[in-house]
Amino acid sequence: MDTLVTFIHQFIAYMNSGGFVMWPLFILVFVLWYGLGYRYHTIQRGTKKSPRVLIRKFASGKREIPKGIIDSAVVDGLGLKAEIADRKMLRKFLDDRFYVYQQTLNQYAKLVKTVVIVAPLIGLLGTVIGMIETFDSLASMSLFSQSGGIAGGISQALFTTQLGLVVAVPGLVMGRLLDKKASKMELDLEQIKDILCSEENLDEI
Amino acid sequence: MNNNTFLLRLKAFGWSVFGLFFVFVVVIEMNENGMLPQNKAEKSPMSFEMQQVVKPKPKPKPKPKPKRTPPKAHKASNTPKMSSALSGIDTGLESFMDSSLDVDDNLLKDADKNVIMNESSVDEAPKPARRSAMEYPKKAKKMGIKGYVLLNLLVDANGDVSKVKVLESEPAGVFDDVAVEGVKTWKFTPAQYKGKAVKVWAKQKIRFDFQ
Repeated sequence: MDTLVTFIHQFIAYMNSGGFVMWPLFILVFVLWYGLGYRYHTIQRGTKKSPRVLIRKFASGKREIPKGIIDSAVVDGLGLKAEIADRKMLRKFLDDRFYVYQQTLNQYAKLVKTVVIVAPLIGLLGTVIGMIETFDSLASMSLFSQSGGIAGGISQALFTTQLGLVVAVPGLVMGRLLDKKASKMELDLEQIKDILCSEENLDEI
Repeated sequence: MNNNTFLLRLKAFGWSVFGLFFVFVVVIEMNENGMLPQNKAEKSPMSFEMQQVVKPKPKPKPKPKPKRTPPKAHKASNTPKMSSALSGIDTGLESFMDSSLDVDDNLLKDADKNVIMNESSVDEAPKPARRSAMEYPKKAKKMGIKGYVLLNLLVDANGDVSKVKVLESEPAGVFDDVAVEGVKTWKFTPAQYKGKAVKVWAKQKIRFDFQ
């Protein structure tokens, strides 16, 4: 408990030493990790098997309950295939149905990317503000005043840049990992569509 | 489905709280030193101690040295002016101590008002009258460095310090600035020479130590 209190004190001291730019960065951290967490939980493949195996299993009735996005896409596709008699129209219906999955896969992806780019820029803005303060103090000769002054301006400049970078770097890494996962699953969705459209008889797969 | 998305958003919210903690713990751990307010508050008591550099005072030699011996006309004509060339160096040669050079105190005349003397040449060495406290350098304090600085001070006739030179410091460079800045604010009792206050170069050792 004591460590938490000291941590909060340190946090407040830190936020004050960086100037007003720190609070937008604070909000950005929140937004960024919300997006990352949301993506992490939505991008769940379900089972690790290839789409081909999954389709066979679900078609033969060995498995019933879908666990992740790919699983439920397979179930959806099979259902659609049973409904639609016209094989030529099947692909278009599948495109339509799978669009929802693609949307879930890419939800918050743009947001995460934007925050990762914006955070260091806001840090840079803080740096510029700190530098302006520094040069102001050079002009007014209040070099070593408590607030502002050379030391104050430069420390403000550096704190904001630091926070900006610390926000951006983990977000960038996590975002990339999730992006990679999402793009792989998009390929899987395409593959499911292809298999469902091309194979007349599922028993031959 | 609705319940499901709510759960998802709750989880995402949990992640964002985690992210906040993560980022700020990292950042605060990064600059653990320097910005913590309570660190500044708990200033451990520390001291520095002055120590006059005691120098075995050589008892006044026939001073002042023949600085500006009036060259005698007949000597100047055939000998190089060795006396003036060597005047600053105490060679200990008999010839320079010779009474024929006719050195007396009047040679200085009023020069002693402007001449800067050193500790061994004045009658009474300057003593610190008022010392102000110095701040122990933060970095040195954190690393537990002790040391000293040997300073050469020019104490003028009013007892103020007008020039400071660092002669020696151990460890080099750590305490120099603090010592120089600090000692400039000191006040001395001026050195006495023949009952008058004179300018003098004095050595002062300042030790930095924890108490």
